[in-house]
Amino acid sequence: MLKLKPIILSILLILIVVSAHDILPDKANYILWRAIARIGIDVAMTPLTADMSLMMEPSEATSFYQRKISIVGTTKDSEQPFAWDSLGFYEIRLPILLFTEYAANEAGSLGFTNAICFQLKKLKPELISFRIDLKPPRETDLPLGLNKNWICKNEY
Amino acid sequence: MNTKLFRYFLAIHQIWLLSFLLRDSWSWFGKNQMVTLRTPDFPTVFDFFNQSPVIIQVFLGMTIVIWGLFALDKLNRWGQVLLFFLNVSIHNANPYIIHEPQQMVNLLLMIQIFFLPSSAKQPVDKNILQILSVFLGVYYLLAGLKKLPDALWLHGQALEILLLWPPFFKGNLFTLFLKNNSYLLVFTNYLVLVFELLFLPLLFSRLRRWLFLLGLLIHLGISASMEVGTFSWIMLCWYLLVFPVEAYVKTFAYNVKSLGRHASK
Repeated sequence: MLKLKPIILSILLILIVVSAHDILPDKANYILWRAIARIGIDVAMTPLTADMSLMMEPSEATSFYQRKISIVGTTKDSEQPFAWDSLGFYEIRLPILLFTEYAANEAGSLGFTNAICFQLKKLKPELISFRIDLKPPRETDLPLGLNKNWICKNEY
Repeated sequence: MNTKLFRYFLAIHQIWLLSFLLRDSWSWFGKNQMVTLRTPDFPTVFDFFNQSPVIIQVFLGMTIVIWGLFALDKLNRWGQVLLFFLNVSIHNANPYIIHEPQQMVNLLLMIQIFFLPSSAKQPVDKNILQILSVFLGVYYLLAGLKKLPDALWLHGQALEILLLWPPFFKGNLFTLFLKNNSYLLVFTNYLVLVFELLFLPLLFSRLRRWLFLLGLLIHLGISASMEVGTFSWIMLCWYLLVFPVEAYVKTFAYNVKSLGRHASK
C-alpha cells in the first residue's frame, strides 16, 4: 500500500529545491509558495548560499571578498572606521551582509538601517550616519547600498 | 532511530537565540524594524507583533518555554503546531537577525510536526529518513555546484580569503594556525568541494559513517575558525536526523572499551 507521508514529504522537498534554482519563473515560485510565505516561511534554499553571487564575478579581476571592507561611522566633525572586533556577529556583521540584498529597495532597507544604527550608536553615541566601505570601489556598489552614507534617523 | 538528540539540539539552538534577542527585544522587533521577506506587497497575519514591547517580551518568553517543553518531549502534536506558528512569527517579524539557520529550523520544525513521530521515543519511518537524506545530499550538491564556477574555489584560494575576511574573521588560535599553514587551507578547500559534490552518492555507500565523521569535522572546523553564527549547529541537527548517530557513539564507546581491555592485558 502506498504511504502518503513519504510522498508528500518528497513533493515538498522537491518543490523547495526547484524553487531555489530558477527552473520556474519568479511568478510561478511566488504562486507556489504564497500560502506559506504569508506565515513567514521562506522556503527557498537560495539564501543558504546567497553569498555565492558575491564571490562569482567572472568579469572582475578580484572577488567581493578580496576587496578591503570597513564600516565607517560619521559624526558631526569626524569620520572613522569601526574596529571589526568591536562589531558583534548578530548585532552588526550579519545585518551588514544581508543589508546589500535589501538596499536596492529604499523602503525595504529601513529596518536594516535602523538596526545597524541602533547597534553602532551603542559604540559611538554621537553617530550621524554609517557607510559600508569597499575598496577599490565599483560601479555596481551603489545599488547594493555600498560606499554610500546611510543617515541614522532614530526611528525606533 | 528516535529523535531525542535531534530535539535537544534544535531546542537548545532556539532557546539560545531567543534569549539573545530578549536583551534588546525592542531594537530587534520594534516599530520600523520590520523587514518583510519575499512578499512585501501584502500584510502578514503577524503584523501586530511589533506594536508593543510587552507583546514582544511575552511572545519571546512563551516561545522559549514551549521550546523547553519540546526538548523534554512534553509537547504533543498540537503544541508543536503552536510552537511552529510562534517561531515563524518571530522570523517573520524580523528575519534578518535570525537568518539562514532559522529558515532551516522552521523547515525542520515543519518536518517534525508532519512527518516525524510526535514523541521522541517512537522510531522514525525508514522512508522518511531516506527522503531527508536525499534532501540533505541535494543541498550539499547544489552548494558544491554553485562553488564550481568560482575561480577562488577552483584555484584553492577560497578558504584563505574567507578565513581572513573581516566580517567572518574570528582571530583565535585555530584561525591563526590555519593562516600559517596555507597548504592545509588549499587541501581543505578541495576537500570541502569534493565532500559537497560527492555527499549524495556516498551517503548510500559503505563509506557512510566516514562521511558523517568528515562532515562533522568540516562543520566543527567552520564553527571554530569562522564567524558564521549558528550554521554548523543546524547542519548538526540534520546529521542527527539522517545518520544513526547514537549507534555510531555506542560502537565508538564499545571499541574504546575493547582497546582499553586489550591494553590492560
